[in-house]
Amino acid sequence: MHLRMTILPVMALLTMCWSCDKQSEKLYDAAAIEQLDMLTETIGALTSCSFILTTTNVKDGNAEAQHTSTNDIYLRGPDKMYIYTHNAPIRKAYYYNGTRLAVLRFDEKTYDEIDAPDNIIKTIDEVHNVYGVDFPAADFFYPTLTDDMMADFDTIAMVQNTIVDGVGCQQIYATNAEHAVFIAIDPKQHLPMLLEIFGKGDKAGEVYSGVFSGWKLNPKLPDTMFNFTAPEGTTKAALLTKPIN
Amino acid sequence: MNKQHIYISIICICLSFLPFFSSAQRFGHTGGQRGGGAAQLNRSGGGSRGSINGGAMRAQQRPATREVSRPSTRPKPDFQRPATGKANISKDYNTMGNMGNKANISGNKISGGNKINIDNSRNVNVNVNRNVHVNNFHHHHYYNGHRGYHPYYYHSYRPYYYGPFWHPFGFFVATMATTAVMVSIANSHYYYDQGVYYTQVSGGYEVVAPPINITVVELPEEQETVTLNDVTYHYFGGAFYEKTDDGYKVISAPDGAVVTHLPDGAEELETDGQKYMVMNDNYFQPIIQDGQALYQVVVMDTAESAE
Repeated sequence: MHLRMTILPVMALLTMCWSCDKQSEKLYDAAAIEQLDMLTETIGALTSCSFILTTTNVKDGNAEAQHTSTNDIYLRGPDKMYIYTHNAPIRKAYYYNGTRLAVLRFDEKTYDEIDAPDNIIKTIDEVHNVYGVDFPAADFFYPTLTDDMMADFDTIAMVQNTIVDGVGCQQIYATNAEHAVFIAIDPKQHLPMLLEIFGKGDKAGEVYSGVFSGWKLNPKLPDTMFNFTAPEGTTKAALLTKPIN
Repeated sequence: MNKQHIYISIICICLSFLPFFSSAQRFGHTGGQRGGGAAQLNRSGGGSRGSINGGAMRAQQRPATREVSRPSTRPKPDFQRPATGKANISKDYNTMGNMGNKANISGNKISGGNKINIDNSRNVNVNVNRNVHVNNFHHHHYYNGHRGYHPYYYHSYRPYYYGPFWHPFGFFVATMATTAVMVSIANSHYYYDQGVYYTQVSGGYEVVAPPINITVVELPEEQETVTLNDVTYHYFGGAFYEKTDDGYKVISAPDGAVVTHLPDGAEELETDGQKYMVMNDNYFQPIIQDGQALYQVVVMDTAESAE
């Protein structure tokens, strides 16, 4: 019995050390980290913004079955968000006013509404974690983006510049066992212009691409655009309480 | 005591195999926490209460970084790419940024008005069974030295989204935006807000087609300028305007005018084997010009009147 008491904690300790050691071989390019920090600080200093995000999803390498959607995104700190998504033929909008999060599916005339936390990040995090809802481009709005990426990726490095919508961009490459990610950043505004995520290993063939355009920094966004009232003729459905992508 | 040790050890082993924190979105967002233990975070930059995310945060201790010479080319993906070249995503890396060019929505044009009773839920592609056909007589017109009509080239109708303030005809709101102004013509009164016209109905306001000859002081920034026969027109939301001393007057769609966008609310009409878009009783023919999908106003005659 005494032996078991000794061996089990040692095994646990060794296992934890092994887990940590797996993550020890990492390469973080100082210039890339600096770029990510500047991007994070730029977004963190915004009181409001709007932009357009055009996303493309490819599953299992089947480009024929790709999904493209256009998202008009309006954020106002700390607790207002409006997202209009056109993912033909589905059109939907999210309204978050600081206390309630609502989604409206225009074509199906259905909506759902739930209580929400008191800020944007908590809201997208909670709805993602509890109900599996992905909010477009949410990654860049976490205040800990750089540290999150350093925790998640083994390699983060600068690669050659690229051009996005006519803008010469710095490009960052990050990779781990599951994903390879390219992020193009406008070096003047320190804002993301392109995000590409490629699946590796078991996820090979999965591709996500998001192109940012039309950035508006600190625009005046009235309260009214974030409030939701169910339109006449619509019915409530469980849209937020299950994945709706 | 012994059992407690065993339980604690088993829990430790199990924990070591689990991710320590849930991740959100596509990256893992753990606040820099990985491998156990919460990272100490410092707020950096200009974060404040009014910030979108509370302000950037940075871990006090980070993994070491180093100076890395930048590779001259983008690393070749050591992963499988989509099989076909049809998807935009599989184009050359440097061209990928062009995918989102078409959308051009100004975030600053958000109405101060209400968001009440949003109901854009109209079918976008409706076959309207009208008995009409294109008036071919107009095909002989020349505009600005060029043959008047561009050849029909079908492209699917994708409603242009002007922003949350835009509503299609028939849309109902319970209260009127504070930014709306009243405009009148022939003893009929309308509310006008950022290119959208409303009329008062029981319990609220309904979006109507822009009344011909009514004048408004300003048009939204997203308006298009259309030049035809050396005359400049203004176009917004399926309606054409003529500049006057008082502002912009709604006019009938000029025959042959080419526009970039058709908003939500247009209907598709198939006649003579070709598809046209109908909006506000104007007919728009899909065309391609310099690789761009556009619409040109065409005049339709009813089959009866043409015979």
